[in-house]
Amino acid sequence: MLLENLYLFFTSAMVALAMENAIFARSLGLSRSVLFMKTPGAGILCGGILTWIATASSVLVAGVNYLVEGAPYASFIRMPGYLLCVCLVYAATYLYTKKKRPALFRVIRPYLPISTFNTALFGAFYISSLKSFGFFQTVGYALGTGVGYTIAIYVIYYARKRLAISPVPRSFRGLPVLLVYIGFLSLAIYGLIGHGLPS
Amino acid sequence: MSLTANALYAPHIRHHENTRTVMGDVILVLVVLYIMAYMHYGLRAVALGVWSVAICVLADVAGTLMRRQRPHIRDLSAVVTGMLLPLMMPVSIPYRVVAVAAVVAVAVAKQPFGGVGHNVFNPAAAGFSFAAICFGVQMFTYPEPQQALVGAAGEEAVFLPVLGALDFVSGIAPTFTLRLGAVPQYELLDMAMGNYPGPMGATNILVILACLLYLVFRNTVRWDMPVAFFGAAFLFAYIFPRSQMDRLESVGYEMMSGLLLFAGVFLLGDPVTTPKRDLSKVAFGAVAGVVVMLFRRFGNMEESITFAILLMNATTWGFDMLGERVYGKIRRHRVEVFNSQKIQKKA
Amino acid sequence: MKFSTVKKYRRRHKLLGALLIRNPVLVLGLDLPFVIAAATSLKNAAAMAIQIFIIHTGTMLVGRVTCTKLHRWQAIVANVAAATFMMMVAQVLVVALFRGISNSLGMYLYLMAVNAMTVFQSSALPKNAKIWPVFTGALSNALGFALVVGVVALIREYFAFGSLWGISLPVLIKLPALAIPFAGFMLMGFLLAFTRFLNKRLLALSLLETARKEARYTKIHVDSVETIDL
Repeated sequence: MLLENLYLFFTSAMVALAMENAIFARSLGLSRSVLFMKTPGAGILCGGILTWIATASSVLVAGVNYLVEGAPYASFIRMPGYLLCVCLVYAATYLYTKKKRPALFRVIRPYLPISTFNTALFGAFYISSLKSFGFFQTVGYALGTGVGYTIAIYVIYYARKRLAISPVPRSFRGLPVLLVYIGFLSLAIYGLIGHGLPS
Repeated sequence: MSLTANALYAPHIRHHENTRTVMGDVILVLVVLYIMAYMHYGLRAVALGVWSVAICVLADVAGTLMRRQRPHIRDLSAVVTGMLLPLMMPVSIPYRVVAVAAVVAVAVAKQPFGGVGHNVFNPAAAGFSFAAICFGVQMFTYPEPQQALVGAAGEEAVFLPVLGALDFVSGIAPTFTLRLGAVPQYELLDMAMGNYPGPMGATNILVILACLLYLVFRNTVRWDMPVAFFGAAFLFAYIFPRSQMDRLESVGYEMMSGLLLFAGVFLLGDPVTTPKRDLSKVAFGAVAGVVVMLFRRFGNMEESITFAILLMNATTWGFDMLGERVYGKIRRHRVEVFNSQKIQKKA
Repeated sequence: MKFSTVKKYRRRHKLLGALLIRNPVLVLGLDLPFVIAAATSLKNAAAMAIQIFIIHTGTMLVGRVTCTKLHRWQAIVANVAAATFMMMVAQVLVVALFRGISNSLGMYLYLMAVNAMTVFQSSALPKNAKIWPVFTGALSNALGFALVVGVVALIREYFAFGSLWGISLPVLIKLPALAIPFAGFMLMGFLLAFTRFLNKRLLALSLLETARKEARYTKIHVDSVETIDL
């Protein structure tokens, strides 16, 4: 039973990380501030915070999914339920680091809001409810989403470095050519997974 | 070594190759493949090539003018992209599909990144991938080559018309059969001679290998990357065969079916989108071989090699960076050894 | 240039600014997931536009209150909670107006509650912000989003499915791949580049116009203005 659950945990994490990557497969969690991180360390920090919030919240979200399943007006109750779980983890993280780890708090404070209230995070929860995941699959999927998001930000950072040395046309410099680049990466991943993407 | 204009400005450059000569060599071998395609499928194969080249050149000129630069058709890069695209497709492909692939290849995969020499992704792979998603049925329906039909029925070859409605016998491509885990119906020798349904330019295995030898001889393509690529693909196919048959036979079918050989020579041989250092090239080729076989095994499409190549193109910078670090350590080690020997001699 | 002229130019072009020069999607790069992945038909675009009008304006007004009463980290939570409530209200309206929109939009219908434009802008309001400028600013941002999502959805629905608002139309060539997110990325890249090109021309024209007006006082003949890329 434990082995089976661990298998479900790891497979759903790997699927979320590589094949159903939040950024490349569904364009979730994208915004200018995320795409233009100043250093790779900042990107990893942002992604790391998202991974922590997603994984910790998914423990509570699995319970919400179980309670809401089959309930009337489930589509109305889900989002407030997810928000409650995320806000609890966000508040706990904020207050704990502020009181007990002030050095860490100073580092994570600028990235905490954008990493927490992020479409990638809530999207992972919605997909887990859509696919009727159990507890281990929900937590694994959330962890994989966070790690995949972090890797994607890292890849995009180095893509920016690569594009900076090319004579890109003036109108395309910056975000436009980066979006075209991400489009081709997304195309490559689509060739692997095909039409099997839930929305 | 004769003095050229390059040598006056950059005397450390001792190679005579430039963009034009490199592209010229590739065009020469592609012409040979078009001749083979003409023999198998008729004039339509050549017409598709001409149409694709025209669209690519027009798109390239338009894109370059929009970037407020002078178009340089003489660098022949658009011609090469135009010639590559139809060779990866079946001869029954409609002209509009080729046009779409050509426009995406040049206007989306090449021009926004800065034009010739600066594109991150292989234009031909990008155009083919886009067209494969849009027009899946037409892209993977392969007519039987005329040699097979003539041999079987003893009738005169009837080629597909250049224009107008198409009526043809479609064959089951080995890639489709291997995907289902079955054994292809064609003999390995037939496949080596190009006598099976598949992409126009990818079925002539022996001719493609001869093209590779010519390009390596002319220094247009380095030998290490294709060897690493084919070696890795060979090993993967040997260790994890897709169908229930003898392992070596399975490897033979895997290597000769689809676009594997064609991509290994022409798409991976693109100097712009692949690593620059020797060690990086070998590592890139080996990883590309494994990734391509993984895409074949787990991918959603019958032919997903171009998607794998796009993914590998995005990692080229990583391989170059790693290669530089390794070479840096080797150089540092050599300097340290040299200095220690010098100190010992003085002592 | 006189500061009074600059202020007059800013007031006149505030709406135009949100639509083009300071468009939240095309220039600020916010709310990209909805445009890239969900804007595949005009009905989807209309539903998302209605949602963003309700969610963004409501949350900005709530944010105007929370930014004065709560700590910043508490204000963000309150704003997102308000956005979620607005999303539920908008969902009722949108589901009633457009049949089958929940299947069509999927989870993007619910993810509107945490759209980047609302979360960032509501938590970045200054404490002395006035109600009316906050409201008009929110409306113009929502209008900017609606414009972009409408244009993208129009292009994608016509060329991918050969229809507009579900009505079949003749199309030269159908490209089903345009409905997939990767094509959304590429289309957005080209649209952003085109917007940047337009903005430069607009800026050059308006600078020329302003410079000519100033030149009348100083009797200098002004022919053209060149923008320098820094």
